Amino acid sequence: MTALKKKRPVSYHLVNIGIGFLALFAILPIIWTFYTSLRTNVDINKFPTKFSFSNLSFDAYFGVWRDTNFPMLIKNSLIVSTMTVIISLALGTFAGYALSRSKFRGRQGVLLVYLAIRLVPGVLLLIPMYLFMNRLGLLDSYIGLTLAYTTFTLPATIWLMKGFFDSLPPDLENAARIDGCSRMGAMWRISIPLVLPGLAATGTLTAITAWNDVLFALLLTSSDRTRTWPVGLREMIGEFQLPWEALTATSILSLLPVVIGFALVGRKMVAGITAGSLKD
Amino acid sequence: MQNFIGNLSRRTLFKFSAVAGTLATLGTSASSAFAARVNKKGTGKMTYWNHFTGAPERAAFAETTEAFKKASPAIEADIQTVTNDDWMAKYIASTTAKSGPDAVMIDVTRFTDMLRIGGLRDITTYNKQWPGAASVAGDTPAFSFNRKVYGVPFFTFIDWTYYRKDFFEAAGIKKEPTTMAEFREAAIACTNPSKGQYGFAMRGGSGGGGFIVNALHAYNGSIMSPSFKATLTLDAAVEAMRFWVNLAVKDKAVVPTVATDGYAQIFSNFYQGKAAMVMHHGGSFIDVGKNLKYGSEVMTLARPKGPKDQFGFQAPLANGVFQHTKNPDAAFEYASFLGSPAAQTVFLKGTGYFPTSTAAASDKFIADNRQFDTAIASLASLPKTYTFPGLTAWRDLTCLPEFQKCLIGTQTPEGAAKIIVDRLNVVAKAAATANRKYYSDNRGK
Repeated sequence: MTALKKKRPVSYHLVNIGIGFLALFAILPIIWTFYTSLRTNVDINKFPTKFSFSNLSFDAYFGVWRDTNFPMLIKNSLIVSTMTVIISLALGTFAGYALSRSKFRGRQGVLLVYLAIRLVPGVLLLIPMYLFMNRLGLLDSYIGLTLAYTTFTLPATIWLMKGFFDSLPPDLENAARIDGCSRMGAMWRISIPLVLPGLAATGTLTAITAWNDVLFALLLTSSDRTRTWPVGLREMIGEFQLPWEALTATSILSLLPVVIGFALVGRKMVAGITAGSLKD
Repeated sequence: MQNFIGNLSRRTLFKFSAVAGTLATLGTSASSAFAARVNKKGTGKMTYWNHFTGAPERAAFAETTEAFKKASPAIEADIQTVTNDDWMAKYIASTTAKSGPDAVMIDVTRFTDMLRIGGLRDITTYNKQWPGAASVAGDTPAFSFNRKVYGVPFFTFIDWTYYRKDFFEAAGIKKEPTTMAEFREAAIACTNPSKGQYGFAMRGGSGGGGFIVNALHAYNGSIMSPSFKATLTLDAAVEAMRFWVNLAVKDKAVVPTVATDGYAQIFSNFYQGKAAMVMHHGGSFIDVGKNLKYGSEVMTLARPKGPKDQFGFQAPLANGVFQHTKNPDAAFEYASFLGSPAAQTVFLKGTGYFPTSTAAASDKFIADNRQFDTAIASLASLPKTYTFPGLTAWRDLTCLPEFQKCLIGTQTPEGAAKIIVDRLNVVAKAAATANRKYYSDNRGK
């Protein structure tokens, strides 16, 4: 083993050092954010700043949990993101499957329409969306926000899912149908299990879109009952206050669900994204 | 009595009847007028939008809401916040949809825009019947138009300057600067680039446009007449721009990152000892006190006087009733509650925001806190801030970018002044046209 290591060329070590620097470059801001969240505001504002491990505490985290609606905001974000993922995946999977397997006149047109919807900047739809939601009585509600997000996530979901279904040979389903499966049965028993990594990837991308949105959440919600986390974070920056320790603490807290979520589905997601990239 | 009745002629009887009838009518109308003097008590749910998102403001709102619950138990108040940056987008959307809150916060610089968009309800009658109206009457005209009242004053932001007492002492400055020339001298005296120390944390990034308006007003006097005629002269604008730009470019007395410095940056620079002075208003009073000690490290100072007027404004803030509310009684009850001395005192103690109520302004908290002496002195000298249609767009999309170009050397103060004056003339013409249309559309309403 030691002999093997010695044989490795200099370039190998140089590349590793380079990767190490890149990793440090990426992770250092997060470490600094975490370190800042443990300091007091007076200490943070001192110049020149001193790197010290004294007087560090989790007070900012307790303060955020106690003094803001953090748990409620996170709960709202989770509910809206989950509902968006469920609706987008349910509709997108069926639509993607239909567009992949069925040959009908205007199929390309349908796909282009979905793409066009995706290309419309969200800000252009703000006022019409507000008026529409108001007419439906869905302002300041989970379902209203979910439907608004689905408008933008569904086209991408359909395109992605169509791509995953396209990569499956239709003969697999044909064989199942010969054995007595209906079209839906073949889809459910054969195709869906094979595109699970794709579903995970699409679901993750949809969840991230819904989780991070500020624009629609700001406009379509106004009470703490439905307000999502990014809006709460934005509101934490007062007009005339600089609560750096609270802001950094909330930033770290808001990273946690994303990190946990990625840890759970990350492997599937990467597999889904790279699915079909290699020819058998 | 019997003789009197018996001797009554028909003519005398008619006379008595007429007098009695008149008295009865007067009595009835007087009693009904008395009854109408009391606003109808609100009931049910009432939603209020404000743009205060900071922790001290949230805490103050929580305390006042509890007090409101006790004062008006029949009203269920729902206090909702909309970030300041997104305020107008949401206000326009809700006004267009004719569905929104019941009561809204009104920043004076947005008042004319909010009124013309059509989301504010005339509360003149409510205000006349409200016993507390006299206490905030000084700021009510700022939220009135065409003799109609649209907002109950809440508190007022008084522009002032914070300075580092230790820096002034080290620089040998014994007298606080009162004129713009003295302000410049103090900034230069406190500047020591080798120590990374500058005289002034100037705001040239987000929010910096307001200071250009300050400078233009200080050198010109009023820049816009009440009938929306631009009164800013090119000579005054050139002088104002030269002063403000040269403080950074020639004197180099401001923190060098000025072109991108917004609120967070100028106060970070001030707290970190990179700047001896910073200009803001009483809104930051509590936050400054958390970072520096009043009296020994930091002091407040009235805004300097320019050739024509003070370099700064008073900017009151009010609460109004949304045009499309279904519950105007409850909305006014809440807005007027926030205008009461009790609510204003809670905000004063929690946030440092200066009350508009004369009763709240005499609170012990102000009397005991010497830093507020500056605010009290400034109340008499600072003019009320501008509010005309197009103000915010002109300030943020013309004044600020032209100033920033001067900072990076792609524009001269003279060139910037010309563009600023020209654009103000365009804005004034548009405002006057819009005003005529507004009058004709609302005639008789």
